[in-house]
Amino acid sequence: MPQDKSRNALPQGSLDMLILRTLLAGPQHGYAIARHLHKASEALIQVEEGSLYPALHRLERRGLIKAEWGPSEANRKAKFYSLTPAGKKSLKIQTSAWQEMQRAIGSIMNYRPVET
Amino acid sequence: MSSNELQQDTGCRKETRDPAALADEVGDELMFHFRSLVDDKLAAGLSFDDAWKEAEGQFGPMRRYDMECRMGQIARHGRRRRLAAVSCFVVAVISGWFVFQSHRNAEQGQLRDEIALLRQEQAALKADAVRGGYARQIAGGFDLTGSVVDDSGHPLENVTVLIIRKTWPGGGYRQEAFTVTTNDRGRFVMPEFVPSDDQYGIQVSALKEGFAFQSVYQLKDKQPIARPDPIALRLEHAAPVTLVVRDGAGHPLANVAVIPSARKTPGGNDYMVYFHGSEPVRATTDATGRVCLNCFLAGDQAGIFLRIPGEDWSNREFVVAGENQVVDVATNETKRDPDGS
Repeated sequence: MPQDKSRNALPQGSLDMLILRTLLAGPQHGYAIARHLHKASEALIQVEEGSLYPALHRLERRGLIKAEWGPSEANRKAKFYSLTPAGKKSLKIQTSAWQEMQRAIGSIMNYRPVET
Repeated sequence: MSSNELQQDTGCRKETRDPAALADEVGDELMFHFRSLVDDKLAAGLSFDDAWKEAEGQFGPMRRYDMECRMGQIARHGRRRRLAAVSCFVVAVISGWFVFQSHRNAEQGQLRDEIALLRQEQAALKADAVRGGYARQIAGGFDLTGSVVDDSGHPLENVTVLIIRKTWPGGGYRQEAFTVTTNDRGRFVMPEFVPSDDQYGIQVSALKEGFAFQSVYQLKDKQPIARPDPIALRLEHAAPVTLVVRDGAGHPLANVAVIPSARKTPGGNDYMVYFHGSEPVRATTDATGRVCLNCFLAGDQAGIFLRIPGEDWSNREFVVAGENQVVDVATNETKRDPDGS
């Protein structure tokens, strides 16, 4: 079924943060990360699952995550990603920036001009 | 922060591995994800072509993501190598494309081969069943699919799946028994197994040595007739129970046939094995009158079918107290000469 990409599209730059947040629970391969994002967002966030891989490789190059090949649950070769200490630090920073942005947007959306 | 400090802090490093090997890794990684998507959709009951199409839609353009990953790896090679990397890039993209395509075709071919082998096996089974007087397959019918995993979620191979099919052809009633075993991915499929235009019931029991058996029943009797829900069973590790069968005089009875028939868990779940078609899971007592059943959990109210040689089948029940329990199963015989006279 073709996906309507305009609905529930991820805000730019947030995929990295969501990946780091998912890996806080422990090492996972890309497929498990995709399943977690789908389930935890109650299928509201729709991303093409292949887009995870350029993001994962980018995070790996930046040293925020590291990767290791190992057997999957079905005993197939899979690449497992895990957070580095730098990744945990970055996640904290990104989370607090995102929360500030949320507060700022919320203030604007709830703004009611004072009537004079 | 100096570049050395930055490297130490972030773990950033210059990539020194062979780009061709890295390119192969990207292909492997993407194909693992894609194949997992296809497998999940096959397990959900989709046909191979539908599973593949849905997986393609869900994954997105694989070529594009493959290329993005490879281009990122080229950038990792640092300034001094960049010129050589750019000229290698064209070759890498072209050869990578062929590697990817052959990899993708090989994966697709491998999946198709598995389906084809499965269909050949089922055609042979169908031929056997027809010779036996009834057909396993119902032309135009719905497939029955299922998967069995252990309590850690790992697929369980060689699980004996006993299936009772109930149909009501022409207002009558027919009950048939079938057996299938799960493959190395813990899955089984019975193609064209239940009618698509008339009510049916299926009782599925899954048994494997060392695991507490489970069963599930589905009845589809409302028009339009629905396809069966995929069977998904998660088996827990069992508590071994040794049954000792003795006669009234206390002598052990050998060659007593025993079949696990029911288990009611402390949580109130009921599982059963129909007697019809249960031969594959039949066990017999040894010369000491003992047989080990490794298919219940501690706390279960367990039921068994039991037959002493020369007699009819009967039922017995007991509570599984814990691991390695020995249950003495009394019979109704009051006297038996152990020498047979």
